[in-house]
Amino acid sequence: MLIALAACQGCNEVYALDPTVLEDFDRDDDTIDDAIDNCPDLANVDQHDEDADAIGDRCDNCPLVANATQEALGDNDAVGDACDPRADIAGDCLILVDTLGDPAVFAAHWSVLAEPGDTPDVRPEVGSVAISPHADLAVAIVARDDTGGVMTGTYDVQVLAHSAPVVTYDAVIAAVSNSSKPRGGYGCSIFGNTAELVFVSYDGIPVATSTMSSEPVLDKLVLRLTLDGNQLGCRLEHGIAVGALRVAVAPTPLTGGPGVSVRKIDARIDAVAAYEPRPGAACPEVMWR
Amino acid sequence: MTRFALLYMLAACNELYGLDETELAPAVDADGDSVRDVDDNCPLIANPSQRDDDGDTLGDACDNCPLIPNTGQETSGDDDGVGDHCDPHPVAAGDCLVLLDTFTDPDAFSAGWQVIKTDAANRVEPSAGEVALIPSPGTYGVAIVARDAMGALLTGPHDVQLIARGTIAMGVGGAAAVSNLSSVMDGYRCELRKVGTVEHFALALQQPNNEMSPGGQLSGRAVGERMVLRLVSQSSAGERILRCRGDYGVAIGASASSSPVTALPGGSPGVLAIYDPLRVDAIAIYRFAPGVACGDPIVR
Repeated sequence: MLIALAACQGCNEVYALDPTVLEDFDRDDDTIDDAIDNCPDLANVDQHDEDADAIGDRCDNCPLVANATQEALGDNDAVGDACDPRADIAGDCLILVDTLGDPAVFAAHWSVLAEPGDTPDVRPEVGSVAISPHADLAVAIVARDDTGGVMTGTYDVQVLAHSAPVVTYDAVIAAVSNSSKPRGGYGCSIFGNTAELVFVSYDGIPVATSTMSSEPVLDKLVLRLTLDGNQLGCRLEHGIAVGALRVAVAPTPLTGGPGVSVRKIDARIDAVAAYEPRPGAACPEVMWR
Repeated sequence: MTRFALLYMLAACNELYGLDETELAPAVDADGDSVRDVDDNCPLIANPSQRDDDGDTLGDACDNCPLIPNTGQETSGDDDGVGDHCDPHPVAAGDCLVLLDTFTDPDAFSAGWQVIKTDAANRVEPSAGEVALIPSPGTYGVAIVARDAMGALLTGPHDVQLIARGTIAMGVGGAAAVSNLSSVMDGYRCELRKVGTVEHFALALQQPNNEMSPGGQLSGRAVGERMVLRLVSQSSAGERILRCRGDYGVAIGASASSSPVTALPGGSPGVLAIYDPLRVDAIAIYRFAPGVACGDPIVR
């Protein structure tokens, strides 16, 4: 080794390298070489990259929305433009990311909301949770905090899900906030009928709909619910089909948590993220799950 | 150190660093575009500019959606060579890329595009990598429509996708992807415009009847000035339904005409700026012709 180190001096000269050539090639000590680490300065041994934008979730300022360039031009807060609930106002905080990797901890992280008398079919798997609602009954999962209590309050929710085409009448997959019952809370939904619809609901009552314009092709759903003052914003992509809607609601405070609601269609939920505006305050530590 | 000593050291150094003896051979460049394969965003097709308009790490020359990010290059919908993420007819095979222009050479602009204006004062200014459309204050708009490789205008319905930058002012100003355009008042368009206190966009409208389809209301706030517009002017069932999808910063929306529109005679695909200046980075033009083989696209 001594000989090798001595030889290094000469080699560095040959290759015109800096003398500090034996640098650390794994800065975050996660056993992944920096050259191939999708997050070289934060340990992420699983290299999980939910949105497949080549930036690991732990480093990604939009972990669920692909943004290889990581722009944050709008407000320069820590949330990237591509997923920022309030893209032109600083102060958004990422609160929770769950990519549902470990079925054994699902029950500790999620509360299942069922209609009266129903025992819903909710099956945590590695990397997703499968939900198969019974008949016309809705099922929701809402997030728990680190102490096991259901999160309450108003969050902006982003959901990745898979399903068969949502064309069955009344079938719904929704990102929800303030949800305390399966059909309750604010929702941003894909709604099946003769056409793809996006609607925003308040406590189970649809308040607005918008027809999606193009044909879905992939089975991947991206749902985003934003609560911005008294404006509910809903954005949805289903394959390449896309829709968006904004509607004013009475700012009635509801109690309940952020999550996902499903009715009349089998859905697989791949990931959920929750954001909260905290302008002027420091963001809390993100709950990575 | 002498040359001899250097060469002598190399063998030992390769051994020390665990390198192959051939490590100092010229770097591999399969397509001969002077970009080494390991750094080349399109290693088998020469693209010395390495242009990647959608930032998905696949060079435009290799990318089955050059203007829409799709790192996975999925074509599961219809397997017709156009990626799912940008396919005008994603579940019907038969889409062909006809033209991709990233405006790299301002001197070639006039050979590739015809300018259509309402007023002589309206300007079109190509520069390296973009073309600026600048309607003069008080005039309506200015458009550019595409010529083919022989200099003749492309005519008939096409599907148009574009990346542009600009600030859409309140009111009647807007930016539009157009097809069948023969005057700025006559053609199909997918338009982003700002109405009221929220951006209202995706007005697919047909001129000369000035029949306007319902617009899609954007749900998110605009940020940045970059927009992506997509116009599709035929449904896969053969009816001429106008469909429009637009991204403007993080805001996004889509709409479609509620009933079929009539075919227009002639007219060409391109981009239109109404009242406000627009800088266009790239345009892709597609043709939908099921059962007809795709020719080589014009790339410039």
